[in-house]
This record gives sequence, structure tokens and C-alpha cells, in this order.
Amino acid sequence: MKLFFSLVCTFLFFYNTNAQGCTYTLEGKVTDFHDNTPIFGATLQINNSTKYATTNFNGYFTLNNLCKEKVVITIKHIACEPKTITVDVSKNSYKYIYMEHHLEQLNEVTVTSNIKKETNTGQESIIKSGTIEKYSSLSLGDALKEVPGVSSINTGTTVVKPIINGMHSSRIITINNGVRLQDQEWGIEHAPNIDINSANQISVIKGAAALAYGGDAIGGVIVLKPEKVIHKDTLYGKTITGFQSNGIGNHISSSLNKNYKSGWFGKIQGAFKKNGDFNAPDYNLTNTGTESKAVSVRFGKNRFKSGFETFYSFINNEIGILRAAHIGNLKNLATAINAPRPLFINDFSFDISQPKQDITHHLIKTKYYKRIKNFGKINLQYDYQNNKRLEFDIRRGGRSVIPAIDLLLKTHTLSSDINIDKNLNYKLNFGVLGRFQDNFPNPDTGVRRLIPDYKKYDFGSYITFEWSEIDNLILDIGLRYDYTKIDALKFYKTSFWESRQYDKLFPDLVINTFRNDVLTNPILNFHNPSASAGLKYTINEKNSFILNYALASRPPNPSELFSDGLHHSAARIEIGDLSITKETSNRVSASYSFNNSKLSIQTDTYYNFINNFIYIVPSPLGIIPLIRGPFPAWNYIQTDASFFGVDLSAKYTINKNWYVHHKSSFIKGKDKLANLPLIDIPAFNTTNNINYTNSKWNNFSASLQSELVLEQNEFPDEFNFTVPIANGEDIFVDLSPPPAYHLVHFQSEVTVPLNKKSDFNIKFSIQNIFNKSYRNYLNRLRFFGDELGRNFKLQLQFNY
Amino acid sequence: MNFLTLKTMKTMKTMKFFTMAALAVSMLASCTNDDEMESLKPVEEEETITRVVLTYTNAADDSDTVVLTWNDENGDEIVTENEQNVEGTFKVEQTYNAEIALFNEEEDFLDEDILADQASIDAHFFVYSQTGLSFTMRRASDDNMRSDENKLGVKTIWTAGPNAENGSITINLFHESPAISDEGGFGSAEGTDTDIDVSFAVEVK
Repeated sequence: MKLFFSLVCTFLFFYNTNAQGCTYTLEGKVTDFHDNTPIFGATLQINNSTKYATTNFNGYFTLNNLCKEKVVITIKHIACEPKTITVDVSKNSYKYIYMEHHLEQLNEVTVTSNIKKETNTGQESIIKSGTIEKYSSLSLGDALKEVPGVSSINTGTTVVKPIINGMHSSRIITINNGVRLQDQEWGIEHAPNIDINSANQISVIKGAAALAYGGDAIGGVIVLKPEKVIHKDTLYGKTITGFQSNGIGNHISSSLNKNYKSGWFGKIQGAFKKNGDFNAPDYNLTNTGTESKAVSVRFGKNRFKSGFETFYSFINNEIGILRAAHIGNLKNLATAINAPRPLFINDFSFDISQPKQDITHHLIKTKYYKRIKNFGKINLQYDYQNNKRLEFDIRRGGRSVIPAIDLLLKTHTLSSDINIDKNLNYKLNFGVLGRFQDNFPNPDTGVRRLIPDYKKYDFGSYITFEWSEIDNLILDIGLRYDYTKIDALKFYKTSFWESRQYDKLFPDLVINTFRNDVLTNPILNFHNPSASAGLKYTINEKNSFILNYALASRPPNPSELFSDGLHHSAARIEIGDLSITKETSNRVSASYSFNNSKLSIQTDTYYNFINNFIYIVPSPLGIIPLIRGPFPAWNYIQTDASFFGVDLSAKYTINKNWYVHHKSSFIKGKDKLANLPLIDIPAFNTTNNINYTNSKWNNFSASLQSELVLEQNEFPDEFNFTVPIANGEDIFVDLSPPPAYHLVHFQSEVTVPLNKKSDFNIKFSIQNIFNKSYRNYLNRLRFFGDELGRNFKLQLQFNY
Repeated sequence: MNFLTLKTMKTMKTMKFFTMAALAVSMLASCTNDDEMESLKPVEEEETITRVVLTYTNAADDSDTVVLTWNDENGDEIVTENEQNVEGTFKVEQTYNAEIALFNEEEDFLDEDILADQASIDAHFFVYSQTGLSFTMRRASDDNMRSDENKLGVKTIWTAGPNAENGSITINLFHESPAISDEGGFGSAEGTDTDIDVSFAVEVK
């Protein structure tokens, strides 16, 4: 019976096809999209029919007995996304079919978000979303300290600038979703304008190994990335809210993602943070409140062959600066330095008054990419940033509401990258970039502008090559060239212009003269080559090492070139130099990593030699008597500097519940010409945790952390100074580093699953358990007050 | 070039368009208007003190005055010797009515920024000091009064010591000090913010 039925079916089938004159043949070849290699064993199935074919070793297939009609063919192959094509059969024909066959690319389309590094041979660390969430109430600079070798230079508690291997500000590039952040980052009290809650992954690359992002990253590159786009119909999000005792702070952050199988995606995210005055163990830190608002929106279409993305982000930060840190007189500063208590201590308040910063940053980007078969991927991107920085000072006659500094920085960037990855064994990337930047310091402040009007033009191009033909070995090499032109309009005091000999050195720059001022038009050009080369060798499954060399060069920033007056918050007269040239860094690094089931160790060692290193040192002019009091003059100079350091992290698993984690970093920075230690170099620090986890108790985990920071005993004592007092005792101003400190912190969390798709996470932590009073060498307000005392934090997170 | 399909060409065209657009944008932006450059003026500094004048008038003789002046001729805020002037000498055991005047260029800084209202008066405080001299001093009865019942120190009364001597008088103007006192006439203040900190060499004959 069964046999009979089959025979009837077969008969009917042939009868049916033959009846319509189905005699056409479709032949063809299935190859890999990238490198044109034949794909063996792919099946081609005609939809709503039993006809199918399989490709042979050379990728060829034949489909016989096709009728004259439109057929839809589904092509499948293991490790490829299924593909459908439509063929209009009207004669015997031949068809090339391309399949996407890259395993690495598959990560982009699978749900598991594999961590992908930015570099192969750079010293790169990745902070994953789970860790980022712990820092939801804090800033980017706080979170980055998870990485050994990364510390921060702070102005108070909330202005936190990352330091990578001893370098910060203009020596670090921050990339937010593919856009290089342009937010007056040269200023030491200008924190990155980024809401950490908008990032899903952060890479920290020490040194200039990631040339695609820029050639001037002498210190390093920070890359913040959003979630990968998931190719399925889904809606998910998370909400984090928290409270903290110190500063009576609260914060909320929420995000919602929508994805479609078709590749369309969208995300909206927002965050709000607020706190009042923080407390040191013994007193209130008056006027240290902050308020931060951030929103970001992202949408686009992500298909394998092409796609686009549009991203907008907004952040506004209002940051109070410790009242006692406002300095108008150095003689009194000397008595305020390291005074047991700040001069101004008021009752707790949420009010943010002068001195304060109010910064608004908008970023918009749009990106388009297209993959071309047998070639690679082309990306095109335009982005625009608008950064408005207002700094309010204590002024008189109702002027405190008028900012003393009012800067508007607008940046347009157009860039294109081409990634050639048709061959799995090597990859070639090249890119070009054009950037235009306009800085406008508003003259309505009633305060002389230290940073001038300028227009800046950048052009950059790079090429990187990666080779991995030999097992266990990856080699990469890159070259980059950047051109920068600065066209500035700057007013100088005539007396300053002449005392600096600028009237003789640059007489042509003057375009207008006034009673006490000259208007100048400096036009400066910089050519900056950079390069990197590295190798990664995996000795065996436990041991691997990386060697890397990077050449980077950085043009001077506006403050290094143009400063010429009293920098209030630094209590010094800062003098830039128009003749400053670029600085050039040569960095060699070696990393070794060991992993087995119990122990993992990662060490990063580096030596960075910087020619013409730009930094600010006490000027031979000494103390200058201003009408408001005497101030020391500091000059930007160039020297040769070296940085040497070792960063170490290790984890040892004791048993399935317990593990210990160690992290330490050591660095030496030296001015080679003056033979002096560099200022603001982080002291040796080590963090050690003991952790307990138990998945049976709702994924409970707890850790006790010890943080030890030694005293920086290498300080240029020559930078201390004495203020001569007429007919009185001279005043010695001692800037040397504060003593070592040891802090203990506690963290714990549980995650309660609610249903298949959602869970609830509770974190509880105590910072500075023993309420220890201490001062941090790398806090610019350390002269005026202690760091924060004990802080209880509770954070609730709902994932859905 | 044979791998370049029609679509690639299309993409190249798009790129060309973007490049042209970028060039156009940068060229537009680089055309700084010459008129705009000509019209640029230095910022008028609103809170700078460019002239300090402390005038002493002998209580018994209007024509006997000592005038201490600092005049910031080059506008650099730096106190240099050639910008300081002391006209006249004090006489031993004579009493002088002193009054301070402050200017920002032609503007009366004292009137407009310090004496404008009570809040501005309360935000300021003058402290005087002497080295090598033996003046006694008090704040005048018609001096401006702060809300905390300390006299501001604009109008003061000084009496020279019994001996001829050389020394210096220092003027300090504190802004928003956390603690001040007019005790002893000269006054004292805590804080790190001063608008004026200047000394003059004087002679008592």
C-alpha cells in the first residue's frame, strides 16, 4: 500500500511537471561573500516544491526540470544565515549566489553578545555591562578605575578625569558610540561629558594602539559602545535606581530597546542623578552638590549587506565646586593649605551655588555602511557635537549669575572607513576623516577670555593591516597621518605681548591694536605622523603574550598655546607659548597572560618616551604681585619625559564559592631634561578583594575590598614656592603629596529571577567602612578638604 | 578594479558626494569675515580694579594731605613700582581722616560695586596693616556699616606715632570672608579671596 502510494505520488509529480513543459535548468555557484571561496554542502531548496540541490566541492549546483515561472529558492549552509533569492526562469541560466560565511561576523547576528576587542596587540581591557551598572550613580572616570593602571585626576568628588598610565586630558581620546568626544577636554577640571548609563561596554586601550581612532592618543583610548543589534523581534530594557547616604544622593536610569528580525532597531535611554553636599568624616563639604540629566536615542537598520544608524545624546551637568576652594589670595591660601578644616562649612544643602560648572553637550551622529561582495565593508559617518561650558564664579554686584567662562565648541566630523576582510587571514582597514571645529568664548562675561576664538581644521587618514595566517600568531601594523590647522583670534595685553618678546618673534600676527591690548591672528599648522606595530602569540592554551610599539604625536591644545592669565581655580598665572610644537611619544609595551582553571594573571609593562612633552612648571618669573595679591607664574614648557610602569591583575579561585582578586599598578614619570620627577603621577596603589558567590542563593555575591594608596614620594619639591612678604615673614607654600591611605569597602548583590525574561537585582555597598579621613594627591581640591567619608549605597535594578 | 560592481560605483559616488559636501562646509566655515575681525574689541572687564587711591587729610589742616595711589596704566593688573605713587609725608602725632577710592578705568568701582546696596557692603571688608610704623587708627563714625555691625573701612581716622619713621601701609579688600572683625580699627579677616592686596612705602616726619 505504502509502495503503491509512493509510486502514484511520483507518477503524479512527473506528470505534473512534464505537463507544463518544465525543461529548464538552473546552474550556478555558491561562494563566500567575502573572499569568493566556493561553499561546499549548501542546500538549495525551491520553496513549495520538493526540488532541491546540494553544492559540490567547488560550490556548483544544478537544478533540473524547472518550469517557466518565478521560483523562490532558499539556500542554507551550516554557519551561514539562510538566504532566499527569486529567479525568473525563462531559459537555461547560470546564477552566482553569495553567502555570508564569516564566523566572526556571526557574532553580530547571534544573541550572545560576544566581547570583541578593539585591538589585537594593544594593552586593552574591557569593562562589561554588569560592571558598568555598578557605577550607574557615578561617572565614567570612576568606572574606569576598575582597570589596573587607570586612575583619575579629580576636582572635588564629581569632576573625575581618567588618567591612563599617568596621562590625562588631551592625551586621551574618548570615543562615544563611534564619535570622538570634543568637549574642551584639554582642561584639567573638564570631565568627559558622558552618561555612563548609555554604554554597554567600555574598552580601555593603553597607548596609541588603536590608530583608527586618532594618532594623538599618547595616553590611551577609551571606547564606549552601545548594545549590539539583535536580529529578532524583541523588546527589552532595564531600570536602575539607587540611593546613597553621603550627599543624600539618588539616581535613576532607564533604557528600552526594540529590535526586529528585519534588522530595524531602536533604543531610548535616560538618566537623572542628584545629590546635595557630600560629607567628609568630620565636616560637610559645602557646595559639592550636583545634578545631571541625560537622554540618548538610537535607531537604524542593521542588515548584513548594508545598514544605517542615527544616534543622538544629550547631557547636562551642573556641578558645585567646593566653596572653600575659591582662591583669590595666595598668602591666605598658604594658611588654607592642609588646614584641618575648610574655611567655609555650612549646613547640608541641595543648593548648587557659585563656584559651579554648568555643561551641556549634544552629540548627533549618522552612519551608513555597505558590504561589497568579495571585498569588504565601507562605512560613512557624519557627526556633530555642540558643547556649551559655563563656569560661574563668586562675583560682585549681582554678577555671580553671569558666567565668568562661557565657551561654545561646535565640531563637525565627516569620516569614512573601508574594511577589507575578504580573506580571513588578513584584514586591511583604511579611513579618512575631515573635521571642522569652532570655539567661541562669549565676550559678554565681563571677564577677559583666556581661551581665544579659534577655528580648527583636521584632516586624518590611516591604514591598518592585520595578518593571522600562522596559527597562534597575529601581527598587525598601522600608519596614520593627521594635519591640524588652528586659526585663532586672540587678544593679548600689550605688556604681556612685549614681555614675551612676541612683538619681535611674531610681529605679523597683530591685526589690530588697542590702548592696552593687541588683537592677533595666530595661524598654526601641525603635521602629525603616527604608527603602531604589534604581535600576539598564543604559546598554548594557558600562556600568551603581546608585544607592541606605538608612535604617536599630538599637537598642542589651546591652553598650552594661548593661556596668559590668572587661572582662578589653580591659583596661579598660567602662561602658554605660541612656539610650542607637537609632542611625540614612542611607547613599547609587553603583556603576558596566564590562565588555568584556578588562576589567571595579566601583566602589562610599558615604557613611554615622549619628545617635546608639554607640561606646566613654575616660571622663572616667580611670584607676580597682582592687585588682588601675589600669585606664582607657571609656564607651559616642552621637555623630554619618560613613563615606565607595570600593571598587574590576578584572580585565584579557591573553590566554587570563594575567590580572591588582586590589582595593582606602579608608575614612574620623569622629566629627563630637568632630571625631576613629573608632577601628578599616581602613587603605587593596590586593591585586593575577597569574594564569596553562591548561585543557589539567588546568585548572591559579596566582596570585601581593601584599597591601599601609598604616598607619592617622587614629587618635584622645586615646585613648592615661597611668597615674599614685604617687611614680613615669607610664606612657604607646600604642594607636596599627602600621606598614604588605606580604605575598606564592602559590596553585595542578589539577583532574583521573576520570570523567563525578567529579573530583579539588588546591590548594597558601603564605601569607606571605617569613615577614614584622607586626602588624595590626585584631587586638585585636596588642599581645601578631605575626601568623602562613609557612604551606604542601595541600588535596585529591574531587567525586563 | 574588476571587483567594483555597479553598486560599488554607486557607493563611491555617495562617498564623493560626502567628500564634496565636507569640502564645501569647511570652505564656508573658513571664510572669516574681515569686518567681523575688525569689529572685535577686547572684553570690557567689569570687576577689575585699575586704580586705588587712599587720601589722608590732616584733621587740623585741609591743605596737609598724603595721597597713596596705584594706577594700572598698562591694564595688566600687576602692581609695579612705577605705577605706585605716594604724595606727601605724614607728620608725627597728627590725626588724619582717610578715605579710600577705587576705580575700574573711569568707573567708580567703590560706588557701583561695593556701596551699591547692603548686600554688596556685607560681602566686602577692608583690612589695613602697617609695618615699621606706629599709627593708631579707628573707623570713622560715618563709615559704612555692615549688617554684622562691623564697619566696612572706607572712611578711617589715623593718628601718627610720636617719632619719625619709615615703613609701609598695606590695604586689603576681602570678598566674602567667612569671618571678619573691625576690632582695633585695622581689622582682621579670614578667607582666601582678596580684591586688593597692595602696600605703599610711607614716611612719618
